[in-house]
Amino acid sequence: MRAQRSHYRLFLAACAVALLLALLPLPTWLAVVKPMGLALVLCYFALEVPEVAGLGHAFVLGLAADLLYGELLGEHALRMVVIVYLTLRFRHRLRFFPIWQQAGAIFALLLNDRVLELWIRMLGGAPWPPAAFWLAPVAGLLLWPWLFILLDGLRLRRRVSRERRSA
Amino acid sequence: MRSPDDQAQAPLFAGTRPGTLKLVVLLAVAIMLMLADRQRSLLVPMRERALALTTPVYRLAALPAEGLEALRTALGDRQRLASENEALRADLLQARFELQQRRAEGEAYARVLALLEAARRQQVEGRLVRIVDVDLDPFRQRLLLDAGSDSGIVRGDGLIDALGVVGQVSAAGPGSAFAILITDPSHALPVEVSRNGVKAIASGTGESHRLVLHNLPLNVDLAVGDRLLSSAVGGRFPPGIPVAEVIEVERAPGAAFATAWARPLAALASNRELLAVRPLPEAGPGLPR
Repeated sequence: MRAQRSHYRLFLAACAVALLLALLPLPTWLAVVKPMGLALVLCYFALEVPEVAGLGHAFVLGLAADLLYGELLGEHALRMVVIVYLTLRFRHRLRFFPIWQQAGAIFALLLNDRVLELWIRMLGGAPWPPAAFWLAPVAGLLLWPWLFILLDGLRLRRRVSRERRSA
Repeated sequence: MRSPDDQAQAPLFAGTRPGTLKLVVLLAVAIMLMLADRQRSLLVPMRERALALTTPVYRLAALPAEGLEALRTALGDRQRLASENEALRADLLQARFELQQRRAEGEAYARVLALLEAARRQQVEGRLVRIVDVDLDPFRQRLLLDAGSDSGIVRGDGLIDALGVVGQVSAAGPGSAFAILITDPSHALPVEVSRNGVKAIASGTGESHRLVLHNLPLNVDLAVGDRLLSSAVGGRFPPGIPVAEVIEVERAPGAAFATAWARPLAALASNRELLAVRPLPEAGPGLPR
């Protein structure tokens, strides 16, 4: 029970950081990394601690992102729900992939996410986006192993320190 | 998130199977929200209220950039500052000189207008607003402003910089406001050609260096290099503010209309401060979407 609460706290903190980082002004060539932060964090938790990253959470966090970025309300919410659903659905396969193969699967997920986003925006009358739009999944692919190691490290360190305290 | 019931039923390895029903419900809610949001009038007040919640987050996100800027100013060597100062002073002088000229022209113009008893001069209110240094979406043409309804900014206010029209306020919360740039695909602005007064509508293309003028008559008197000014038709901007310069006119054979492209004159990417303007009350068109 306590482990779950601690995971939950880490989950919320990671999501908050991801949401905040996406607001930082970056040079244009770096900005392609940004759209993927929240999606990657949600993917990680859906894979490793599915108890905290349910569809409901994905929806609420997506709504928060929509409000924060002034996006069409519901756009992020829909995309995050789809990402988390797919991750949970294929969780047992994905978890036993080696990390590079996992990154490949994440890439496919993010590409699907981009297609979904494009579809939503085109329905809203937006024009075809610039080529850099499609670079975001690539950035996600490159980022995934590092994010995975970072979050795993944080999670396990918490567990160790908790066990030490209770011992 | 899951009910105890759910967990009790779940066998060891299927404990995390996502609920399809939940997925369908959430997707439906998301789609309904999007549809409701498309009808701007429905959710804009809610969005403006939510800005009160999100403003502290923007402040937080803008801190690193502001810190860097402060550091750069602190470390900037005297020489650079001095030369910058000199350049600014020169600019100021130039601007003053031009202002004098304009004033003279303006007086002449006013006399002519009075003679003709033509349209009364439109008065303008202006307010300096700062751009918050956060990046909402690299692929969208939008800005976040540092001032909101507290300081008198309302939805529909026009935004200009020293060079021309920048955009419009699309939602104003208490302490901050969203604005869309003239290059946003959902933005359209009535303009007139400075040379001959031809009217047109300049729409955004989603690219930061291009506006498009659709549905021009084939024989329209428009040439590359013409300057487009804001016209009084929109009622959002004072008339006569520079908007863009025509860079291409296309009269495709067989097409019923000509199309032109123009380059915005305002420094859309590098501004720090903008002027929010509003022509004094007169019936304008509906609020921007």
